[in-house]
Amino acid sequence: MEVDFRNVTKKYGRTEALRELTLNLAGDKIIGILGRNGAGKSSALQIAAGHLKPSAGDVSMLGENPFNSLLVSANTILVHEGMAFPPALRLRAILAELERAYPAFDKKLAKSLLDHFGIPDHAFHIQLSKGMKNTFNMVAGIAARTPLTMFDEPLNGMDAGVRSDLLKVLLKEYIAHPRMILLSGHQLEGMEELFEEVVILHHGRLLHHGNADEFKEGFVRISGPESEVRRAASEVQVLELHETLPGMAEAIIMVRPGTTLFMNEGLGLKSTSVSLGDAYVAMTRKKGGIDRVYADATDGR
Amino acid sequence: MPINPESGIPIYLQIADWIEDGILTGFFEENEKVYSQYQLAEQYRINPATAAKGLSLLADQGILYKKRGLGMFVSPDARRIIFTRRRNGVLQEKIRDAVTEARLLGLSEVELISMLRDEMGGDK
Amino acid sequence: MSTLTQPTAGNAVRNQFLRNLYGRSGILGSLLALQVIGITLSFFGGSGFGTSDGQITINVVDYSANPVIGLTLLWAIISPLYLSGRDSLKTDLTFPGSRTTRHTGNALYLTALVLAGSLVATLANMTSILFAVIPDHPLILPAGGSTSHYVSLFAVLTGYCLLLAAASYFAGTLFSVSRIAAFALLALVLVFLRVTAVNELVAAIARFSGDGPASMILLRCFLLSAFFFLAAIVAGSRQEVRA
Repeated sequence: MEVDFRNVTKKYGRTEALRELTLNLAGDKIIGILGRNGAGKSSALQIAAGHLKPSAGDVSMLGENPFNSLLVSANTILVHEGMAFPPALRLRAILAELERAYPAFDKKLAKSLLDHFGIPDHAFHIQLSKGMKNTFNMVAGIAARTPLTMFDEPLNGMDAGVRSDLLKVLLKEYIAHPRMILLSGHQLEGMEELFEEVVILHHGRLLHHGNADEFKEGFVRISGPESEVRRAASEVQVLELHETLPGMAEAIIMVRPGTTLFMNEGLGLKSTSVSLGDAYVAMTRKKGGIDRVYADATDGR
Repeated sequence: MPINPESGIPIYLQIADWIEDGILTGFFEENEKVYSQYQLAEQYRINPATAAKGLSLLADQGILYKKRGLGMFVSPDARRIIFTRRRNGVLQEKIRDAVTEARLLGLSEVELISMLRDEMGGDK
Repeated sequence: MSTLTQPTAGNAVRNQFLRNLYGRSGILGSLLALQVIGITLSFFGGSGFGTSDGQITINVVDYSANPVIGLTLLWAIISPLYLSGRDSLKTDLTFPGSRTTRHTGNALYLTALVLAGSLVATLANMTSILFAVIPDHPLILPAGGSTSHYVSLFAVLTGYCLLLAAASYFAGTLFSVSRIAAFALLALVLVFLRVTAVNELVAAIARFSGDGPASMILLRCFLLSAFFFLAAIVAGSRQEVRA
């Protein structure tokens, strides 16, 4: 499976959700689509699923433009909060409907997962709570076994236990039936170790795309006495620097791959690796962060 | 061993360490098959590619060897390699500490080396 | 490796049809409910549908003002609006298909329901005359009160229901694509059709006796309906819903 975006722009009225996005995703991988709210994640996924038409640019999948492509539609499923099912059907009947529509759909798996998560199959989709609805949707997406499976903020509103179980199932399913899986989110909620690649969107533009492990290794957190942290940080690209305790500070810095960071441990500086979540939040944060906004706003008083 | 994404150590290194521990304790024996990248991925809920990276790190060091189509096996030399590397690692760290301490005390390089030499000579 | 599914348009249309049948049972249900109401009204309150004009009250007990026919026509206007709306598109996007297979499946589904609805209305009309004998109303049997008369009624009713459904489906699709375009079209229709055309339409339904004209009406309606459905496919080919 290959998804190819070339200079894709999507506008809603005057708002630009995507700005000349060029992105090529290939292979049966689990790929994280990260970005803050309004970064364009959902628009990109809905365009890939053929639900939305780009305002400009080209998208190509399986040699076709996904918008109005029967071939793409049959080999793709998008799980998102707005996912709708026939209102007159009970969950049991919805599974039968999905089975008829998606040839690889595993109804038995879906049924046992619903049982496991305590979702009664005689309920209507509209009766489910937000967390249960998202659980049902994700189960449907996993069981559909489409070559491209997309989950847009799938874990919202779920209990921690359900979330962890679903991610485990997703991984097992991916290993047993490899496919391209796109997982979007602004909170990672335990998904980060599943990613083989990450795509980071910011204000509708591509900020980064690459191997997830390499991306993480590009960041280091240094902590220690504030003056030393500031001195060490002055020589490299700093994404974030803040005081932790009086006189102590912590900074997240970017390092070039392959270079080693020389630090004098005798001065009390410590370096640790950075989690994917912290790295991407630091990368997409406004300069100065919320402290700066607050300081600027209260300065005039 | 639980994998800790916040520990500051990359996941694939944690995986490699865990397998090394298993070899040192005898959990994995010589010429025995170790877990596949998929088993590791499921066990630790990580991407199979990350698990594969941990395995290939061990293969590069000669701790594991690959049998085509069968998976990764513990090489006969594995224990020795791990032992040597870990010992060197610990020693290296102590030396680094000594250097840091020496700098703090304002000792010169010559003075430190002569201290080391005395220490080594004293053993004889 | 994941294996690709090679979908066929025919299968997608079939699934769309079946999804409408099972998953949107409210459409079929509302048709049944309206027809039951219509039959009840025509049995017990037939005269309520007449005008105060003394000459026309004769027709009220007869067939032309049969509430079943009126309510079936009403259903043909309303239900396609639901089928072509945004919520329905959102649901259909969850399942494999293109906008063309969706509209085609919907058109076939509406056609099937129109046929069934017209058949029920015609049968109700036949029996209502039998029932009309029971209460002590004066009864004037229709001029050609034969099988061919009811075949004509069925043909004309099917024709007009289908035409209304197709026009309504087109309007609903246009409305969900662009509200401005839908209102502009509505204004144009009002200007050009004027009120007289509506009268003609009602009059035409009344003039259903005789074989020749009825088949002509059916043919004309069928062609017009096909045109409207095609127009809906064209207008709806760019339809999107922002989640």
